[in-house]
Amino acid sequence: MKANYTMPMFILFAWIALALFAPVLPLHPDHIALDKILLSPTWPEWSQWLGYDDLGRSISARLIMGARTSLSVAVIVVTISFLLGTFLGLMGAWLGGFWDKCLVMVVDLFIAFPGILLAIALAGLLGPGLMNAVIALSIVSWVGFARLARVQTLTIKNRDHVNAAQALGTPDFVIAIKHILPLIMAPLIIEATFAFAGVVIAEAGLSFLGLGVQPPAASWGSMIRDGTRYMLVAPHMVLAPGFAILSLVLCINLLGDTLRDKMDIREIEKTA
Amino acid sequence: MFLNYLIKRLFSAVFVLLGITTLVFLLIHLVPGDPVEVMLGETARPADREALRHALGLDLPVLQQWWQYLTGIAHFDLGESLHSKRAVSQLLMERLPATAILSIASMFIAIVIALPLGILAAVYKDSIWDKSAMVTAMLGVSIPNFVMGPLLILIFALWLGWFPVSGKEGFASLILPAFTLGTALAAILSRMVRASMLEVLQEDYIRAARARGLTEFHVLGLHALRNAALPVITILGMQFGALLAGAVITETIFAWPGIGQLMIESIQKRDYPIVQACVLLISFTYVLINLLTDLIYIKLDPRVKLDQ
Repeated sequence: MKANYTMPMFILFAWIALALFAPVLPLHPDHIALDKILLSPTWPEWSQWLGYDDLGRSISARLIMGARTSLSVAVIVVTISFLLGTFLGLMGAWLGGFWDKCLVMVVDLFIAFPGILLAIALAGLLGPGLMNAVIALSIVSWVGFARLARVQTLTIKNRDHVNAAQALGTPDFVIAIKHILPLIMAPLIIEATFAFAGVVIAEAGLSFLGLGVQPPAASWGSMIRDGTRYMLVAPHMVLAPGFAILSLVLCINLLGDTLRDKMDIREIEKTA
Repeated sequence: MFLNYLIKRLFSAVFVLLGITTLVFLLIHLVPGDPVEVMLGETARPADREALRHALGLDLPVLQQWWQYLTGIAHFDLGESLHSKRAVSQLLMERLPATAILSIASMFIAIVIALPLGILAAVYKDSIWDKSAMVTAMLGVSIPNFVMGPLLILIFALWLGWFPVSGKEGFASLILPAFTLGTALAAILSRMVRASMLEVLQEDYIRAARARGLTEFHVLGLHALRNAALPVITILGMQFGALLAGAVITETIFAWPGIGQLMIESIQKRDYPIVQACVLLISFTYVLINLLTDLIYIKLDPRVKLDQ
């Protein structure tokens, strides 16, 4: 599917910019205006555009703080899992034998847990809090990168240029970084894109269950959770964060698809 | 040959189940600090703490605890709830039917949506049908169920009043949660059906069927769909796990009294034996469903060569 990706790119950058500049913007996400409790969206003041929540806090301000939470968790988790997973996968495939078997065993075990279930259990047992949510999500997310990096490395490790480098006495880690990593980067970046969307959803999911950020900090997931109690009188409390998540995830997924088409990942996967 | 494969596959499944059990067993040791203290609170009397520690077997060496946990599970003994003091296995059995009904209904909805959508998109490739079907699928993938659920409640329960908001009372209350859970799967599935159909439609036997003058309905329904179904069944098995995990959130949204709701309730009450048992039950189901789809796949497609 050929999608125009200027629009998703624009929306994504808008969210990133809002998240980055949230601290310097005149936002008061925790400011309580008792006269505006559950106020519906109104013009013209921008803090009222999306209405107010059950405690009288501006939803637009909280939405921007939520974007900050969501994006920073996603960046941290994807970075950790990308580095850890790629390192382990590459090492496993490169060393082979016992270590590779160990890696495959651990990866198979983690994949046997369906979806976000393990993250929910981990976050639940570690206790609520953003830090624990990051830990739980990282423990679950590295596996995808490890599996991909391993398979990709296996297809490359016997190529001529790697053999040549070995014959020349190049140290292993130099071979890994200079001769293997660049060749397996493309599929890993695509995986990272979809993992990013996945983590955004997962973080919001954990927060929705009360396992992510703790009040008064804002997260899109916890905003939806608070909003479900007032849906009849103040549907904007659910609709605003709901569409925020949808817009962000949709844009990332569209970009991921475009990226996959451009890098023609299927060609690489087929030879694997 | 099938028997050989079966034994090999069963063996690896048992191994994975053992690994899952071990990991779930270790979960309790992940609780920061002393799990007993977390469960009882800081004000508990030392005697109560010791009693709970003993009841949970936490005073034994780890290896012995692990063995006890394993043998317990082999006897369907999953311990006791810390709050209600009832057997965890009994609690699970009470909640299991609700989750089973919800996941089967969601799967049904997913298939009913995805099949026509995917076939339509494949047959009229690059047409407006194809494009709108794939845009719908993309939307479906990008809406998490905790957004979809409240949205459906708002429109169909609160504004239109067609279905109850939450709870489990009769057939009507099943519709919204099943839709919430089913749409994400429908989205993934319709993309798969489309891709699979596109591949099959280029095969020689499809051209042969058309050359024999069969109706388009006959060609698509009997020749193409049967072959396109194979990869779809595998995806269905693999996605069933995501469905079960999604049920945890969906059940919480709709107060649907299933395993997922039990798990979240127990997390909030710090009733760890129940949390462990829920994770175990859902993961076991997932592994067994995957095993089953693998075997069905082989039975359905005589072209699958086992020795490869």
